[in-house]
Amino acid sequence: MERKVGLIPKVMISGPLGLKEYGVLVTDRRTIFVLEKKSSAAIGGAIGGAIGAIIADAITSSERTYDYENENPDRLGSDERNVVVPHDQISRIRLKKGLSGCSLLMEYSDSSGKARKVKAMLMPPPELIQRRKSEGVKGKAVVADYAKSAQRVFELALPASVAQNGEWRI
Amino acid sequence: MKKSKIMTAVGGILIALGLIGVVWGIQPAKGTETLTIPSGDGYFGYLKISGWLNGHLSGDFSVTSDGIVNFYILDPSQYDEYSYDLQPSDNMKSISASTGEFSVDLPSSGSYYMAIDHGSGYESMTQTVEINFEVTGFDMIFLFGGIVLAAIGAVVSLLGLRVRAKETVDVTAKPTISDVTVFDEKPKPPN
Repeated sequence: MERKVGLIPKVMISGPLGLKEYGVLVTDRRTIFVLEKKSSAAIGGAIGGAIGAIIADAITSSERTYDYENENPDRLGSDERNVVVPHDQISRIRLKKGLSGCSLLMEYSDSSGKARKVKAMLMPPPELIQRRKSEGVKGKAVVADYAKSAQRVFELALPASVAQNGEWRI
Repeated sequence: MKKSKIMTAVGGILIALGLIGVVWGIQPAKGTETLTIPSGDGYFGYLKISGWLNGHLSGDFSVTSDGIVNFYILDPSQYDEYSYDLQPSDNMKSISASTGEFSVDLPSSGSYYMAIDHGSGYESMTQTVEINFEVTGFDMIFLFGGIVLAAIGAVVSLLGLRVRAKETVDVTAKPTISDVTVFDEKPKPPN
């Protein structure tokens, strides 16, 4: 049975139609990037003008939420809007601190053998930032802690060979 | 019915009405009016046009009874003079005939008048004149009214969508996790 190891509640992935927000469920077999919120700028752009911008803004405010602890990974994995990275197909994983935050890169082969990669920015949710700041923790430290916790989740979940070769540059 | 649905529906209707108003506001206004000038000195008839931005007035008139008439197109100050003694010192267009055509620009969004009185020698007759006219430009009442209506509709729709987003969250409210969470720390089986 597939074992849920951990959750990274918020990462952002840049696509042709704007930024998309994902929750990342990590199991002992795969990492599932679950689409929670996407930009609808293209819809607004097609309508055009101020009304379009207002509609786009309103649409982006709708989002999907999941109870990851009780959610079935198979259901999330079968949703075409989500990105599934099988752990036994990972050729490279990197967590890297940059100027604008911490990025996650995963290179892997999909079910047809095609090389794929997914690059995401780790973004602590606003509730977490607010809570940690109220505890006196600075913003950069919140991001760093978030990234370290994400690294720990991957180290617990990935096959030892993949985890050992992971590039952890936080 | 949910409050958000009512708001988005009302907003949608307002946007639709506003857009119809905007489209209507840029359509030409066409019309045919018949004016009757009673017999006697000092009688005249007029049609008033107002609220057109970048407007243009064109058309024709014909006396359907006997004789000729004096036809004028006048701005408000010219019309003030005309209505006093039918002798405007200036005008935008003046024709004394039994039929005629006119085409003038309306330089501002104020009021303009098409005025008709008896032609010289026909004061003792009741005269009837048919005027066909077309005004092009932007009808400010419909144009700006439509824009305002559409803007109000957009705001109401936006509020409706925001309310719906909140309702959706309320309905699907589930425990949310804001920090990285480890569900299971069991050691991995050896490779």
